[in-house]
Order: sequence, then structure tokens, then C-alpha cells
Amino acid sequence: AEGENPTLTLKIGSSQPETQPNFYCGMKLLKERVEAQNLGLTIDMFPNSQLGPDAERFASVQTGDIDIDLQGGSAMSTAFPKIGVLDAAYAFNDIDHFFAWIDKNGQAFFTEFNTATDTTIVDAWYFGMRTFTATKPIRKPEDLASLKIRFPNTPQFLANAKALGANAVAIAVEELYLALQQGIAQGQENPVTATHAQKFDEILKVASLNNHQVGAHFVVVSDKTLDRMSQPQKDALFTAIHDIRAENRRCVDDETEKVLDGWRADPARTVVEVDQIDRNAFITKAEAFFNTHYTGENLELYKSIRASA
Amino acid sequence: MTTPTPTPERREPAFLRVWGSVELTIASLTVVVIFVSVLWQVASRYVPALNWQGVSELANYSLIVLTFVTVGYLVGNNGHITIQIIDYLARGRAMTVVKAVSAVCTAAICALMVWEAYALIRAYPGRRTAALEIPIGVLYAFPLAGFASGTVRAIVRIFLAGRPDEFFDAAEAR
Amino acid sequence: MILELWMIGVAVTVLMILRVPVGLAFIGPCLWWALADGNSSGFALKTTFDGLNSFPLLAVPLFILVGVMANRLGIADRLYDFGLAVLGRIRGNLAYVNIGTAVGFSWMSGSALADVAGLGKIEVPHMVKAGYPYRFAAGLTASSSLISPVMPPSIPAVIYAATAAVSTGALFAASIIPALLMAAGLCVYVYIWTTRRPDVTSVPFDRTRLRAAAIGTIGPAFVPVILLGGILSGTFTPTEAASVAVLLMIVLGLVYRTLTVKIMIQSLRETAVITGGIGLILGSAALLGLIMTRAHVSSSVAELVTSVSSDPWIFMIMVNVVLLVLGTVVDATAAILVLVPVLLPVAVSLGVDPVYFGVVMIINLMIGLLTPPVGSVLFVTASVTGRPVEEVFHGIVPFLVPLVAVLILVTALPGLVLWLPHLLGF
Ligand code: NA
Ligand code: NA
Repeated sequence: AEGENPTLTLKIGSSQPETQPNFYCGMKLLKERVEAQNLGLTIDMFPNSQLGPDAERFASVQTGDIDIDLQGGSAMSTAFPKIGVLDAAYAFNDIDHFFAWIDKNGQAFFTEFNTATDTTIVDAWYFGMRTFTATKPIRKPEDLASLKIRFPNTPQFLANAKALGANAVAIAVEELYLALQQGIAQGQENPVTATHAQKFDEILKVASLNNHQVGAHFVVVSDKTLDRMSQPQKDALFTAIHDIRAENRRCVDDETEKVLDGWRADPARTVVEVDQIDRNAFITKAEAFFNTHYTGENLELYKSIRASA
Repeated sequence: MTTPTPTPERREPAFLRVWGSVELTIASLTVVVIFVSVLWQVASRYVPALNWQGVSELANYSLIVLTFVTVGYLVGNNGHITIQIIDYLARGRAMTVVKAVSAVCTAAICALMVWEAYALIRAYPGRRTAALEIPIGVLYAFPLAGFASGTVRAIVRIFLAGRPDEFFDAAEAR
Repeated sequence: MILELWMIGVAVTVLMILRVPVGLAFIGPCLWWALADGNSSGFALKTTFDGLNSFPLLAVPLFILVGVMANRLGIADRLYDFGLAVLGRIRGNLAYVNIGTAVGFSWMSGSALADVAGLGKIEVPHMVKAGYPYRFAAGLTASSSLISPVMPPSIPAVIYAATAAVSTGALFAASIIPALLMAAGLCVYVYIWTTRRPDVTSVPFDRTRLRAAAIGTIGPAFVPVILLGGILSGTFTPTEAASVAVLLMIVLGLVYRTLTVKIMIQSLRETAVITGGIGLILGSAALLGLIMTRAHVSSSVAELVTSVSSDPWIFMIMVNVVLLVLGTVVDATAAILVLVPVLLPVAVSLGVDPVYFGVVMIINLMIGLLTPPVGSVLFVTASVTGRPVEEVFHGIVPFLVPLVAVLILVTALPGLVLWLPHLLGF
């Protein structure tokens, strides 16, 4: 019943450039698969922050001016503070832990999120483990003391800096490359693929794979958009989003390994591998911090995530 | 071409002049806040005790407040950037009509923006800014006030369309 | 969708012709379109509001404040006195002093208006008194003021860098040689002009005052040194440098005892109203830009341009012609904000460097400040010297020759632009 499906063009936004796995193994696959169903849906893609910065885009998803977006937890925490906790340093051990938690607790959590924001999180796609790139190796918390590290200027990210014992400096993302070049900061933290895409590795030659945070992008849909869609359309969209999760993760892992192999092969660079990092020291420090930093519901959530580790 | 002729006396009603000086005072204070915050950000990298995550947000929102709070003042004092191409074609009564139409359009656009500001204040009741946790509705109150002021002043200008334009000199802003 | 965009374009143009403020002329049709397209009722304001939420844009009010204070604290006068003392015996010296002062002032000011408003009041009467024709004096003062927005710090460069997502520091470095070339071009014209005007001689200057005049410029001379040094040494970013520059102005004002509470308050007010005017355009252009992004205008323009030719040089020639024509009627800030998102992706796909593209674009649009019907430098020159706009423009016309020659030179030789930023490691 072709006639029952309204003809709709859905705008999907993201901060990721077209060179990144979340575009070519995410947004683009979603477009191809949903459109192939011939349900009257067209997906109009706006990667690379074309529709604005993260927090501003999420506000537009709430009002229905953007239909679908890929969002990290921190940017949505101004509307639903609890989701920021998912970005806490070492809250999740790794991406498997993260997805296991989402599959077990996601439904209840996302329902609560939906009540507060009028938006629906369908699933999460992997973005990469956030990790330090700097001028010096970072193997244990003490190594951070002598370095100024740039963290994104949101409360959760700055709390992560404190939790790890880092000396965080505030630098707008627009000025970050220059600031690293001129030595205003000696390091930054991002997933490997993002560090490479933004060319920060041109300046920072030491990557320490301390993997302090699971980077994930929630695929969030405006309820105003869902209200206009037929059930078959919604089913097709949701199924495609769920199906892409695993493929997208493989793409991110492949791209990460590709960048890392390039770094490892370059004699001018150092890659501090996962097993050379004193992970327990970082985790213990972060846990001690967040157990006093969070209160109320946030603390409860944080503890339940750690308990599931 | 016309040479701007300085007109010493100001024709806005007294309450608008008082309102204008309030707007100008808030705008001047935001310039101070921008200056101090950006300097603070530099200083805090060398004096860690000064580290405060709110500075860049404070500076950014100050620029936003500055822009919207001066909208009405600039409408009232002929201070907005305009394109004066029509001055070559329209003279006398024709120019009066152009200026009246211009003021009507300005009033209408400002009024629509007041309505938008009201819609935004209602759209995000619980939302607060990331670092300073300012309710977002408080920030949208500045465009609400600025465009309301712009609407009123543009309406006043409809009735002043027949008089010669005063020349806006930023250096003499008061 | 494309048809609807044409309607927006027509509506914006009609409103601008009716003398509706440029920012509001952008907002009105966009607001109407947004509602008709089924967007939420706060869409236009939210986008305008968000468009201003950018850290690099904070340099705009700060560099305006620096220029305004440099004027009010008598720093422009000091540079002028020094120029006179140095060039006391050269034929046509007042004309060279005019250019030299503009270069000195350009290191502190980011906009042409601060320059022409401050220096125009001193220089034009002084030159007229020394026997120069008014048209020459006014034309030169107006033309040399364009060095300020090209030489760092530059407000158009800040706005371009923020819009194009390139480094402000790289754009600043890239602008230095073109700004000096503009000064050199004006000097060549002055030299040719003075050789044909034997009646214009040099204005003698009491050489004993050279020492005093030199000492008087020591303070201002430190300002660019501290700013550039601070940026290059990694002490602060180019945006943050703007706040350091304000601090330096306050220090100079205290040292020279010219800073009073009254001057401070009036400087803040002047900065506030100038920034407010620019700010509305910054925000509303973001709204117009978002609507064009949503309609994928950039890829349509790219298709159009590449269907004409995919040669980067032909593209740059087209850009120059379009910008020179647009510059006569469009405000420079608005042009940067609206055109960069459309033209830059095309330029980059043709292999044009975004920093070089920015410098060419800025010089183009600055030349438009001198030309009617929309030329703020033209109007301010007429206003501060109290003469008709036509007369000032007649004076400006010959100076357009060296300025356009520099524009052609810079367009043809990207190396002139990119050499310094590469040398400084940007
Ligand atoms: Na300058
Ligand atoms: Na012009």
C-alpha cells in the first residue's frame, strides 16, 4: 500500500566529515538502504557540521527542524543531564561493554530521555575510543602533570580531565590546530580517526592508546518527524539504523588500524600501545573522582555502569 | 549624491531616549565582559588558580547579547548598515514614501522576530547553557527586548518619514 | 527549491533597495521561507542567535575597540607627527606621510573606518592648507585607509577565517605582503603625481622635534611587536591577541595620560554600536547561509562554474569580476558571510588555496568600500571633511588604478600571499 506512506525528505546531520567512517559506513549506508525500500523516504545528508555545531543541532532535532542527527552524549546533556554520565572517563571498559549496556538498559534509559527531550534515540554507532595524542608519551596519570591538554569545553569533558589528573586548557576548536602548533597546548584527546582527519597528528607525534572514553554517536530522531511517518517507514528506518551498527563498527576499527599502522611505521612517531599503559591506575583514579563528583541519579547511573563492567 | 547633514536635535520621544541609554549601557558592559573574559582565558593558562570553565561561554553570550540589545537603538538612530542606492532615484515626496515603506517593513520584520523570541523561550523551558547553566530563556529575552524596541522605533519612524535623515555618527553614540 | 531561493534573493534585494537595514533584509524573507517550509516558529531567530556563537568572532568587537581607542588616545596623531619629522624634506612629503601613517595605524586597527574617521580629520585639512587639491587629499586618505583592514589585525580576515574554518593566524600572515604592496602602489601613484605638480612642495618640519616625535611612537611601535610575538611564541591565540591589544591601549593611555573615564565610556559606546551593526549582519547571514546549505546551493554553483571551465585561473578571474561588481553595492561583511560557504568549496575543489582565496576576496571587497552607491569609507570621508560625496569620489578614482593593479598582482602570484605564512610555519 504505497499510498499509505507519505513522501518525506529527511534531513540527517552530523559533525563528521565525508572522509570519516561515520559518513561512508553510516549516514551514507542509511540513505542507500532506506531509499532502496521505495517507501517514499528520501534522506538528505548534511555531514561536516553543515547544519551547525552539535549542541545547536540537537536543539533543532527537538523542534523538528532537523529530522535525524548523530550526537555524542555531552552535547545532549544540556537537555538531559544524565546522558553526560555515559561520557565519563573509564565508565565503560570498552566498546563491547558499552553495547552490552545499551542492549540491556538502553530501552528504559532512552524512554526516560524521550520524555525529557521529545526525541528518540534509536541506537548508538561507534565513533572510536578517545585517546591522548601529545608531544610526550602518557603511560600513567603522573605523565599528565607536565602537559597542557586540550579537552572540549563542556562540563563532562572537563570533569574527565580532572578525573584523569590532566591539566586541561580551554581552546576553541577553531583555534586548536594553531594552538597545538604554537605550543599553547601540548596535547589533545580524540579518537584516532578524528585526530587524523583534523590533522592534529601533523603536530603531535606521540599517540598513547589509553582509551579513556568510548566515543559513540547516538542516532537520534525527532518525534515531530516520527509523527509524520507511517509505521512501515519507521520500521524501515529503525531496522536500517540497527543493522548498520555492526558494519559501522568494523569500518571504524579498520580505519583506526589503518591510521595506527601508518603511525607505527613512521620512525618520527611513537605509539604507546594499550598494554604499555597503566590502565588500572587511570581507572582507579577516575572512579575515586566520579564517586564523589556525581550525586543523586547521576551517581546511581555511574555506579550501575561500573558494576556491570 | 547627498551629503549627510548633521542635525543636532534628536527627534525620538523622551522615553525612547531613556530606553536607548539603557540599551547602550548594557551593550557597553558586554564589551567590557568580552574584553575581561578573553583576557581571563589567556591569564588562566599561566595562573591555574584562575581556571574557570565559564569564561568562553560568558564572552560568546556577551557578543550575542550585544548584538540583539542594540537592534532597537540602531533602528531608532539610523545606525544600521543600509544600502542607500535609492537615494539617487527618489527625491522629495517619493523619498518620503520610500522611507515610510522601509519603516513599515522594518517594523514588521522586528515584530516577527519578537514572536520568534517568544516561541523560543517557550520551546526550551528546562534547557540551560552548558557551563554557566544560564536558563536559555533568559538569553532569548535579549532578542525579545531588542526586537520589541526595534518594532516600536520603526513605527515611530513611519511618522517621521517626511523629515530629512539624521546622520549616524558612532563616535557620538549616547 | 531553487525557484524558492530566487524568490528569497529577489525579496532580500528589494528590501535592501528600500533601505531596510541589511541584517533585517536578510532575516525577513528567510523567516517567511522557514515558516512556509514547515520549520518551527523560532527557526530564524535561533539560527541568527547560533550564528553569533563563535569564539573567533570575539575578535571583532575587541579589534574595533583597539582602533577606536588608538584614535581617541592620540596615537594616530603621534604616528602622523613622526612621519612628518622623518619625511621633512621629500617633495610631496605630506602625501607619503599620509600613506606611512596609514601603514603604522594599520597594525593597530582592523577596519578602514577607524582609520579614515580619525586620520581624515587631521590629514585632509593639513594637506589642503599646504596647497594640495582637496580631491587628491581626500582620495588619498580614503584609499590609504584600506591598508588597515588588510594588514593584521583585520576584522574581515577574522570573519573570513571563522566562516571558512581556516587559521586566523595564517590569514593574518598572508595579508602582510599584500597590505605593503597596497602602500607601495599608492606611493608610486603619489610619486608620479608630484613630479607633474611642481606647485606642491614639501612642508618643512622642525628637525629638532624628530627626537621627541620618535620617542612618541615607541609605545605604539611595541603594539604589533607584542601581538605578533605573542601569537608566534604560543603565548596567546590570534583571537586572544585582540584582548591583549586592548590591554596595551589602556597601558598606553595611562602612560600618555590621555585616558580618561569619559574617553573610556565613549570608546565602549562607539564599539558597542559598531559591533551591534556588524553583529546583526553576522547572525542574519548565518540564517541565509543555512537556508542555502539546506538547498545544496554550493554544489549547484560548483556544477555551474565547472561547466564554464575547470581552470582555477579562469575561476579566479570570474571571482574577481563578480566581487568587484558586488563590492560596489554589497556590504563587505555580508558578502564574506554569504559568498564564502558557496564559493570556497568550489575554489578548493579546483585546487585554490583557501588562505590565498581569502586574501583576494578581502582586497576585492575593501576596494568596494571606496565606490558608490554603497561605500562606507567614501561616506565617512565626505562626512569628516564636510564636502560632497561626489567630490570625494572624483578624488578616489585615480587611486583605484594602483589598488586594482595590486589586486591583479596578488591574484596572479599566489606565492606573494602564501610565502610568509609558510615561512612562519602556519
Ligand atoms: Na589592520
Ligand atoms: Na561600494
